[in-house]
Amino acid sequence: MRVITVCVGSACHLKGSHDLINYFKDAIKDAKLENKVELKGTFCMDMCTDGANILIDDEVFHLSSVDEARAIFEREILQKLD
Amino acid sequence: MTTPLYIEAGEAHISKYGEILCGDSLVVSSFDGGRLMVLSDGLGSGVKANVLATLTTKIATRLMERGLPLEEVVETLTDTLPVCQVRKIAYSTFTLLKVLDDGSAYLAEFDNPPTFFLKRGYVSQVTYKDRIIGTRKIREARLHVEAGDWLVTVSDGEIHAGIGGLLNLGWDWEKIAKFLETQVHEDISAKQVAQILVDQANELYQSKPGDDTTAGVLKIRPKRFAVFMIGPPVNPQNDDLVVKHFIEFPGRKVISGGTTAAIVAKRLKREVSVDLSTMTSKIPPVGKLEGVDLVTEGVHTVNRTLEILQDSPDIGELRKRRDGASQLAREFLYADSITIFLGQAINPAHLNPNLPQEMGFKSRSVQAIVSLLKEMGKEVALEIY
Repeated sequence: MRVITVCVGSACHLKGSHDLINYFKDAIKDAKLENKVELKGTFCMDMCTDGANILIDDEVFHLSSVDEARAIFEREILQKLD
Repeated sequence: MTTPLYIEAGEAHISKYGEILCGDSLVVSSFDGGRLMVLSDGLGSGVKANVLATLTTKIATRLMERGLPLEEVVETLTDTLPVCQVRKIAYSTFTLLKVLDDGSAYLAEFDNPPTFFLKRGYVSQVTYKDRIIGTRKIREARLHVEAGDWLVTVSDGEIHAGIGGLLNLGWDWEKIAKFLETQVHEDISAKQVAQILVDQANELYQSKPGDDTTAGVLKIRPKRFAVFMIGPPVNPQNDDLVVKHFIEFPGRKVISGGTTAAIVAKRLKREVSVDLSTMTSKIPPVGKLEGVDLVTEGVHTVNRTLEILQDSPDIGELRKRRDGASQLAREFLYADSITIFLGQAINPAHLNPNLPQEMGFKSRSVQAIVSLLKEMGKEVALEIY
């Protein structure tokens, strides 16, 4: 099981974590990966200035748009399916 | 230790058909250690009745608050009230009800319907003593109340509802007593019971009330405590102390702020999880932490909660909404006694010039919430760390 964790703390919220969550929710559904990828939220990850912050498994990514999220999802999830 | 009592008050009125002003007056006031409710029915209806009734309740409330004996209250009323030109008497009825937090209660009535005293869901008999003060016969009683008890006082418009119309002799004290027994329960508010009583009377009057009708309700229940921890302490050395106070505090526990939640979670050796289903575009989702009743995000949620509270919300409406700000507002509204630990550590990320200025306004919003809650009559203690 892969896990995408999106920070929903105050700063990341302002930087669009709400849109990121909606994007990942749809992306997981569209790719029919509900049983392989879990989407979670977390409060502050102590990297507020770099947000919005997400984790894919244990790796941190800093995203500033849904387009970046799409690229990361392609590269880290879709291309790494077993 | 037994839980302290809280005396919740609610009232509702309807005016006689065709009148704009209600000739009944009801005043509820709080003083240190208890509550006072005074009901008066002025002679006649409209402006004159309203003036007489209002004078009566205001004078009685002021004097009772100062602890004056009943004789002086009654004498002052008789001496002060203007004489009615038609009836040549200075007259208005009254019910004085004083309930202390320790459960002792004092009741004095003059020409008003007897107060309903409900114990464990049933109307119980009040033992009155008659007392003559001047030319007036006053009924007096001392009661002991406990959580679950209700005291309901009504003007005669309530007792006479439907007279000569739907009901030959009006609604009648005994029938209202039976009705009350079917209405009161733990989850209904004093305000709701008062409203139900006058609505029912209005129906019996077929929406054309023959008299001013008023219900005043006191609900005796355990006091509700809540403690809020908002923001991490400026000095991290205080973290342990504040968290310890927070955890040991009686009542509901609420945390606002992701970093604050993390500080508490660390000491509890538990994890905060996030419930994404409560997320909205404006308010980040709420979190879950075992041992804490509610965890929300900080600044956005608190700012939105202030807006909700400024809108004089209905707690029933808020129950239908799951977002963090509605839930936080609900916790503030539900509690009678509120302690807030406000940590003023500044999140460096929030000083980022690219972020809107409102990010720095959390403390100010909390202060505004405190003032609002105090206006609502709640006890609020704000501790700043």
